Amino acid sequence: MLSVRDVHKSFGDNHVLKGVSFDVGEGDVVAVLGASGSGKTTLLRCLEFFEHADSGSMEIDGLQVDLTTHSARLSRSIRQKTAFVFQNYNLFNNKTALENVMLGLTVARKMDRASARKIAVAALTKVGLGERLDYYPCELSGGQQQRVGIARALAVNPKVIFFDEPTSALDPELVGEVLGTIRQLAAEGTTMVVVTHEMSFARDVATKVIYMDGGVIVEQGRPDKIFTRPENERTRRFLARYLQDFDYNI
Amino acid sequence: MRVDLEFIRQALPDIAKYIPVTLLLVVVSFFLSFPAGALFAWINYKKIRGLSPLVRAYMSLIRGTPVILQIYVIYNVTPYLLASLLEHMGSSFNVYRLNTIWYAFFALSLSSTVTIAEALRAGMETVGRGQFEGGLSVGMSGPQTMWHIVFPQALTAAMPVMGNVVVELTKATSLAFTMAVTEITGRAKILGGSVLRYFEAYICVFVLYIVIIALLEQLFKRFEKRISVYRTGRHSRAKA
Amino acid sequence: MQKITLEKIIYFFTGSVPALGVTFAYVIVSMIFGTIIGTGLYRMKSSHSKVAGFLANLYVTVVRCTPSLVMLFLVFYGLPLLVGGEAGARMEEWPILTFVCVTFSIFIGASSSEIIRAAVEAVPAGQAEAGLSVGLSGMQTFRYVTLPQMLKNAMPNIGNTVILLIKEGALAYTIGLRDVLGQAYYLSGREMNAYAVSMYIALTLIYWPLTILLEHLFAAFERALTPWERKGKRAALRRTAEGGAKYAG
Repeated sequence: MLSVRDVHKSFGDNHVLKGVSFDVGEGDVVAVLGASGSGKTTLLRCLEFFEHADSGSMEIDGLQVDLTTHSARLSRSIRQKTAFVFQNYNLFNNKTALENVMLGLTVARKMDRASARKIAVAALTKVGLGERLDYYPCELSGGQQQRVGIARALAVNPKVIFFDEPTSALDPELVGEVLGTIRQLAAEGTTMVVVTHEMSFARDVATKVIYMDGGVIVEQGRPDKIFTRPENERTRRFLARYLQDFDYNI
Repeated sequence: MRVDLEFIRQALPDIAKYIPVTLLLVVVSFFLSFPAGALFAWINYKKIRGLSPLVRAYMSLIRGTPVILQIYVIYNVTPYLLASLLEHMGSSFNVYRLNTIWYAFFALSLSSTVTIAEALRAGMETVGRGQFEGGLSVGMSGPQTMWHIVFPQALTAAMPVMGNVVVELTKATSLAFTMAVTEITGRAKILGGSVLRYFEAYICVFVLYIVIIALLEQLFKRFEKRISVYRTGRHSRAKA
Repeated sequence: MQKITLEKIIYFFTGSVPALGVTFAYVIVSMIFGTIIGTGLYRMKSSHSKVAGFLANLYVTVVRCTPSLVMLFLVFYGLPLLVGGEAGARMEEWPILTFVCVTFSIFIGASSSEIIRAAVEAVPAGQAEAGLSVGLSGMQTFRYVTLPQMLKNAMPNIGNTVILLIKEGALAYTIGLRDVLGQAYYLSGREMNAYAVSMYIALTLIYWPLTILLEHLFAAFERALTPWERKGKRAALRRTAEGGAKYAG
């Protein structure tokens, strides 16, 4: 349902993405792992056209797109098929939780307010914030804000949801509630690409793991394989650094 | 020290009758300069090639010349320009029948447009790029995101400056008499001149301005509170 | 429509520029006296006495709400009253410049008290404490530690104030002052205002570049007042590879 081919991106002299390709099937939960600077966030941002790739293409839901395009209209039509959950939530500060979720429907998709409200309430209830509909972001904790962000992404019924380190900005005690929400979505078959540092989450929830380093995909595959019998030396070193007490199934 | 209190008592209600003119000047000029200022702010924020340097040069010009000079230029030059423009278009409208208050609206709004433009631009830059990307991510277009998300927050950030603009506009209306518009200062001049009690007449005006501005500021503060409700929230701090 | 000739523009330009001396005169005098008043007001505002604070704030509020034109006229007609004469008297004896300076000193008094307050509050309290802790006296701490930082903080505001003063002061022609605007109007009057547009252009050519020049001047002042920020840049360069080669040792 989503295939990405040969993405290159440089910032000045810094060649961040050096030819990245991967596929995402419907219902897949893809975890993208890697150290800071490996390019994983940049990759995601290129797919949502927040950065303009230097080369590469993407096919989503049958639509073929050149990732280098600067066309606002094209970017927008792709964004209507996807949704993005940001590391620092990026909730609309001047709107309540309910309005945050409804805006993508009423303004971007010209839906009538009554239907939009129904969808928004359902989405917020699903993430556990049905009691906080008219709260402003400044009145919500980080975890709550991120869950509103997830509800906002759900409401527009995207083909795939991109998560850019959704829990990295959260206090440790709030990480669990957001991961729980994402887990729930995975169980329901939502197609997701999640850039994350949460290893156990990746191991337990993902259907596919991609390990990136230095702008390339070093290894990708099923989580049970990657986490127990990584083929590549770099992958092994990365995992060993993060999971020192991890037991390898032989 | 001899001050004619009787004159003050008589003149004050007379001068006060012209307060609506002052207020009209303030309100119309403000609502003229707001959209213009927003447009300039947008152009400067996006750094639109070609337009942005022009706008900034224009803003520098307005900021760099005295208001009274601007008033004189507008008042004396615009009728000529309008007349020749109308002639070209074949209209027989007599420009000199136009009420001079229109020139006053225009002249007064020049300065406030520039102040508003700067304040809104700064406000837009305070609103982080993340807010903009959030809007795009749910499928809104750039302009839609600006209108619903970025601009309201920029406006809230610029509110204190807006209040200042209103105050400065009110004070600037004191010059409207040079454009044959009689507001409170103009009236004071007439009354004071008729009996050579200038000082007492200006005392009246002095008091009136304080009252008007104090009231306008109160109104503004109420408005500011309402639109910045999202900054403090309506609920008790129950961050569960 | 009038003829706009270069010759006339130059005529008005060269005729009015000498009046800049008058402009600078009232600017400098008003800034000096205004700052003195402002300092006093600031001391009152930050004192423990509630009465003093109230009075100071009252002064600032009242002045803030008064248009320059009204204040000019009040001072022009009212100052003689204070000195025990009739309102409007003594106009021939006192130079108009006096009234102008008094008016704008009143304004600068109010605005400078706010500028001083903001500038002082922007200097962290720890700076003064550190100064005292190394043995500097209160006066010395103020002179070497607090004041330079205050000045740097206040520079943009001071620059704005001067520019505003020049522009507001143009109104003084209404009480007869022959500053740049007043002089230009006088010259124009002699020609029966036949070349008004040329006069406007000439005036714009005087005021606009002057303002821009002053803006740059004050920005330069601000940079000159912060050598510590410049040295910081040098240290930062030292840390980069190429900078290290240049500044090694």
